[in-house]
Amino acid sequence: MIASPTEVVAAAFSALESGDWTTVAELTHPSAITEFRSHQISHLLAWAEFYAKDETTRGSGFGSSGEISAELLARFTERTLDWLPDRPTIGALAAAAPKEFFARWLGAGYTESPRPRQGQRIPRRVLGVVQESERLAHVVYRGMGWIPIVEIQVMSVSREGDRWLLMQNMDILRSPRLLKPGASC
Amino acid sequence: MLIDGPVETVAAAFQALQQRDWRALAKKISPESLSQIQQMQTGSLLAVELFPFDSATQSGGSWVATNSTGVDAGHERTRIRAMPGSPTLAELRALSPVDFFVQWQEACYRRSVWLSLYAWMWGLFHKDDQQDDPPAVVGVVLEGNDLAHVVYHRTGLMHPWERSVLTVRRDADGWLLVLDPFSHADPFREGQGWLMLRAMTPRFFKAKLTSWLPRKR
Repeated sequence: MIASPTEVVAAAFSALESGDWTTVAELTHPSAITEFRSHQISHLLAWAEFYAKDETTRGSGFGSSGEISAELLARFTERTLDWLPDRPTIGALAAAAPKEFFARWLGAGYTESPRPRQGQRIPRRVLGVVQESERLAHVVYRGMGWIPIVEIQVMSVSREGDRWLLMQNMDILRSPRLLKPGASC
Repeated sequence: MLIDGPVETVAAAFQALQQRDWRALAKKISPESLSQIQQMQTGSLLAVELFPFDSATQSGGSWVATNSTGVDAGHERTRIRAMPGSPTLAELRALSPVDFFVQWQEACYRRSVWLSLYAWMWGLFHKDDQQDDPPAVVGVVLEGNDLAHVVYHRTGLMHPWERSVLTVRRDADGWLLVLDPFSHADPFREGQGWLMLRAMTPRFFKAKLTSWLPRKR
């Protein structure tokens, strides 16, 4: 018997609360992982390019397209993120398997942020599910939003083979802070 | 008398939005949500009025904070030029929440030459120019007897599978929408960004033009 959408979402919330990033990754849909990885590495490359420019000409901020540039990846592959556990290089992060990257980056997002573990250990209570089609369902839950009030959220899940997997949302996804290269935490 | 259920309430609110029937929409929103909208929006509109555009354009930035829950003593007579007829802050706050909501929505969706120019410059589209499909209800999750969460589909979100949720609560008048005072992500407050743009654009241009003119010594 396969786990239902509400069971899968509840299991993912439980894994999140205990810091079991690998299980969160296992319960996340591959397409959501691919998109998250692409956006995050693209942003890392934009960050590296920004700080590689002369301070007087680089402007006040940087943005990224969400697409990984092969040229930028080759150029900044050795850039080290000194403040993260194991001091990974951008090249090593990009070379990791998508699920491995997702688990590692999500974990770093919750631990290496200005407010560590914010939003990780709060109760998220599943209220019910709306099944839209055979392959798409939406689990409604009470959870923490961007501001510290309890609010209603939706976690969509998609069926992949015989499993329901999370499409993820901004209530759950996190990324670690990016410091100025050479700066310590 | 039959009363609408959660799904019918949200569907009727979407229909009122689509028809720009603001009074019909207000009837589907809880009184406390309408009051919160009035408090927060008058605070935001006052902040725009007080924003020092001339110094901001010269120094690169500025900010203004107002007390959206208080009376903003000293600013009751400030005219809010983004609203039709430029009423004072006190006049806006003296309106009933329903009347304020109706006037505010009409202002949000009003066109102007300045706004069209600004939108053209930045490649934006006025909401009325968009041909979005109306939001559509997908289903409902009940939480007890008097609270329900309606999942709906709308265009313009990042992913095709993405859905949003609205909460409705049952009281003596039937099921009514309870809007999150801190989130403006629901379709009923989409026009407010344009209202802010309308308020800021002429003053932004004026400040820019002034900053380009030679200064008197």
